Amino acid sequence: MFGRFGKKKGNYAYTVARVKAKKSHLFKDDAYSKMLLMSLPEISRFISESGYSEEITELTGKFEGIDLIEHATYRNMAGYFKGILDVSTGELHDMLAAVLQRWDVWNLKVILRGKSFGIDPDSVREDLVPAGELALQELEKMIALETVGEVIDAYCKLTETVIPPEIMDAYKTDGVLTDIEDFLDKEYYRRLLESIDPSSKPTRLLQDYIRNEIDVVNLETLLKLKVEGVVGEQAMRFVIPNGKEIDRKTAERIAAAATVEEAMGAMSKLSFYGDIKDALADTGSLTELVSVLKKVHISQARTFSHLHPLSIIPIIDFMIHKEIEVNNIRTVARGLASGLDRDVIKDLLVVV
Amino acid sequence: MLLPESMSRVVIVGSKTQMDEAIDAVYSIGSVHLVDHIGGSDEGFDIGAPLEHSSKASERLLKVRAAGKELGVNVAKMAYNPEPKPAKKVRAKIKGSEVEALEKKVFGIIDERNAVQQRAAALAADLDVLRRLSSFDVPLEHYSGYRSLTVFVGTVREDPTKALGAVGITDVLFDMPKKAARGTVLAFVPNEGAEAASATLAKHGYTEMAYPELTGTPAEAVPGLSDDLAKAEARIEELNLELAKLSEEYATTIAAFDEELSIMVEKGETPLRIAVSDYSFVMDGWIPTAEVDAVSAALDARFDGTVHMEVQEERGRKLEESEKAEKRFRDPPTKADNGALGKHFEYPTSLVSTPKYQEIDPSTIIGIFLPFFFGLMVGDLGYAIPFIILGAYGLKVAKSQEFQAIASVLFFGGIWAAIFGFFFFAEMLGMHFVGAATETSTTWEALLGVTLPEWFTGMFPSLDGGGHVGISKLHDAVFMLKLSVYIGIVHLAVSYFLGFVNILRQHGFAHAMHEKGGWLFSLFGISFLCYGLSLALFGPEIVLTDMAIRTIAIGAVLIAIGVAVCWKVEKSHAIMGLLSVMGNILSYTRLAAIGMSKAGMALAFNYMSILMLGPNGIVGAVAGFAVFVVGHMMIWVLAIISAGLHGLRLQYVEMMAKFFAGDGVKYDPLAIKRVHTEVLETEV
Amino acid sequence: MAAEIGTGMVAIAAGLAIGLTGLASGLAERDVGAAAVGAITEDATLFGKTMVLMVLPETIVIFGLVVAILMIFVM
Repeated sequence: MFGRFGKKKGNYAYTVARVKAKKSHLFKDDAYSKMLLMSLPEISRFISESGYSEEITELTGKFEGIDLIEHATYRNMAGYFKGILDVSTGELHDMLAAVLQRWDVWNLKVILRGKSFGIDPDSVREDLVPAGELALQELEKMIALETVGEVIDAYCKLTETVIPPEIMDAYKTDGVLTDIEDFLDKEYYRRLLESIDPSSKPTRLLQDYIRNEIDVVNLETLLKLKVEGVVGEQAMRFVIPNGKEIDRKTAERIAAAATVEEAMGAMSKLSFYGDIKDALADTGSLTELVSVLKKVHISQARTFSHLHPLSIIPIIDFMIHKEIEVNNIRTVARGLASGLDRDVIKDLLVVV
Repeated sequence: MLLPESMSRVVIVGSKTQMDEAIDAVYSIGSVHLVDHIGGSDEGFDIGAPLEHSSKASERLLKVRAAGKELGVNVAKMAYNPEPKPAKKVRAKIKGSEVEALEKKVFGIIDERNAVQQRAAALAADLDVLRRLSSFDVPLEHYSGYRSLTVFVGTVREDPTKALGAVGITDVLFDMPKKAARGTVLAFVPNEGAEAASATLAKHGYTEMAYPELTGTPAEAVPGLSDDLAKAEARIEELNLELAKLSEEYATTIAAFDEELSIMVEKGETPLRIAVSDYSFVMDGWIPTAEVDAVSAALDARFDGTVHMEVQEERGRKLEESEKAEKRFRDPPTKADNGALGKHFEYPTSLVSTPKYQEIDPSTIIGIFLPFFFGLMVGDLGYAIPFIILGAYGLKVAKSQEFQAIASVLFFGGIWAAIFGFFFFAEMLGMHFVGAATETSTTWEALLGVTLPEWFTGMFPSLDGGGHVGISKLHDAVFMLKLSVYIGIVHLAVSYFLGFVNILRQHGFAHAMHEKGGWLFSLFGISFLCYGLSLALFGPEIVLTDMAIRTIAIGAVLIAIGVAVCWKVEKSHAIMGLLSVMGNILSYTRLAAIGMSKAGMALAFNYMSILMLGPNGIVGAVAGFAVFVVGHMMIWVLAIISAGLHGLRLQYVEMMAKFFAGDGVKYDPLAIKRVHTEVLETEV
Repeated sequence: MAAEIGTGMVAIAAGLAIGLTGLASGLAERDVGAAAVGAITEDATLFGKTMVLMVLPETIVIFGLVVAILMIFVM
């Protein structure tokens, strides 16, 4: 008990209480059914009265309609995440900062795709989530750069990342971003796991949770590749190391299986086998399977956060839900803007 | 009494063509608490789409708010408006696209300001560079355009001239003003030496500097640029002034636009909350039973029976009734129905939760006990008078609910403090009225050098037959502790009784006995038991007198009955809970303790100011007076915090936990509240 | 002399009873208090609820007070 003095353990109670209060203000399911009946300005006004007010008011002068919603939602989400980071202290702060670096990777991917497909800068900007280490100004500078190579150089300098020359060379010859993106993901998880010092319970929890996430990501990659016919060594290239339940051997067995059904055998020992087996038996579709996997992972966050209220997990749980909310709003807005049928949009929404 | 108002559930039905007008009517009636329709719960019905005008109104509302934000107009903070604008005119202005015009105007200025600001920043950066270079007499056009020369322009940490000379580069200009952190270097290097120069410069911390593409020497260029900068800055100033002027001019207009548009949007989006089929609409809602006839008549008068209201049920207070109902009709809204006193104390209740429809609203009880406790803890005529004055002023001036509540605590608490301070403690500013001064304390009698008449001193109680006149918080500590505990027992008994009444009303007598009645027995049992034990134990030696044995026996029997009655519901908690009941009772000792702490502080300040500093001539008197004033001010301010918060806590934790469930739905009827606009009678 | 030492011991014991339970209450209330402030920052209407939760550990020190009073008056 007294060991907790002196050391900078972080203000779990305070931060988690704030985050839980924030979570209780997120939209309930019926809000989306109302949004589906609204027009875009109505949606903007509606969300501006439930937590998005600052961004909407600020951007109304510059954008309207769908652009306003897209710009405001991601910026709002980044603001929420940054805000949580700002009020946290000590070890909690460091862990959160490390977790939030995933948005640096996200932003880089958005900019790179924008550059290589020649998307106009404003559309790139509306997908940015400046919640990581790189501030909006730095991202703006990266957008202003000419080529993919320059963007990557700038990013590497800012985040002290070193991309192996063979990956860069491969990109230069075929111009495909997959390998670079894959490397960035792996690098994010490597750094994150490295930054966690598993000496205390809250940090161990985060480590467990992240390794679980790696499992989910890996499984998703392997199954998707399998449907595309990529198996064995070819598929193993994309596996992120250090998963919790899926070690290299299991991963190889899953990768080696020719079909999804065969792979199920290799997965029989996994703790979430039950959930995905049912999903596969019910529909047999991969999208369904992936969404079940994601739901399992989200529910893990929920269970973890109930079991360990004074840890980082409730905060991650909130972040997941906030992201879902923001993506749902964007889905509704985009759907309405492109004239999709309401029922179709409704099916696209993620409900947890 | 004490219960929230009785509610009736109604449906309002009409044809879809009349929905727009029906919504308008319901808003102007202002007493229908709408229950949201849930899509898919009725065949053929779904939630309605917003009315047509709502989309445009939303867009305009966003624009008004954006413009308002840029102008620094905060409508939320403008809670009162002495001159509301006529709503009809505001609507006409909105229709005439004045919102768009205003937005355009504001953002025109903002955009220009941003552009000028950017330009000014660029100019300032250029100027900085030019000033650095101004000691070199080389025209700027000579900095570039060579085929065989590479030009280095930048800043360095230290003088690189020598080092550059060592690699054979001699066309180097260097300048480092005194106290500057970095020097400026300008080097003309033949292309073949560029690499070596670059390496050498890097060792000196070289950073390249972008210079403006102008002609003439840097020193010549400076005046022109700083002129431009000054102009840009003046323009920014001008634009800011313009914005400030707009802000002043349009503040009330923006507020009026915001309000009118908000009303339009709210009405326009009401269909999202009601059920609509192809041809008709259905609104579900709650209306206070007392207003049903009036609402029905108002609807009939306006629609002549084509929009019809029907009462579905009048909800009773039995929980069974509510549990039977469909989920969205399960909890009727709570509309507080408190008397004059309770109304002032609805805010403290709302800080915990909204009372349920079926339970007693604790506001009145808080209104009785909170000021009483506050007064007992303060217990000093000298502090009471400013409390009463401040409270009365607050009640008159304060508009918001929380300040009204604070003012009422101060006012009523101040009155109690005056009563206790005068008749019970007989003291003012920590000094008793009557008695002789001692080494450490003084009294008003001694201080003023008068002897108070018999009829006056005779009003005050005395515990030791005239030794101390008035109860002394410090001297009679044991008495005060006992008194606090007895007050606590009464307070807790009231709480359990209210709990009993609640359950009686919701579930019937048997439940009420099992859940609350038993505890009432246990409470009195523990009181008797502890009293008996203290009689037996709190003496020089342990003596079991008849009296002690009897009270202990009565206590034990009452506890046994209490536990037996509770057992069915509470199980082993019926026994474990006894401890927390004891804890609750003892928690009231804070009433005495806080009084004591204040009396102690007052004693100390009085001693310092009157007895220690006072007798030492003029200087002493002045210093003493200063200590006296500051010290008592401090105690007075602390009294608000400690007596107020602890008094409140006794209501929240000890009392409300016994009977208050909360989590009710607040009665929130569809109604229009206008502050910045007004509907003139001539418009109707 | 012995009686005086005894009285002194009782006073020390009573002091310890209050002091240590006070410390314990404080430790227990620390996290609750931090969480309460956090919750109120987000939603001011939670004040009453958090206050009720916050003072729960106070029972510890109240029992310390009882023990101390018993010591002083009984012994």
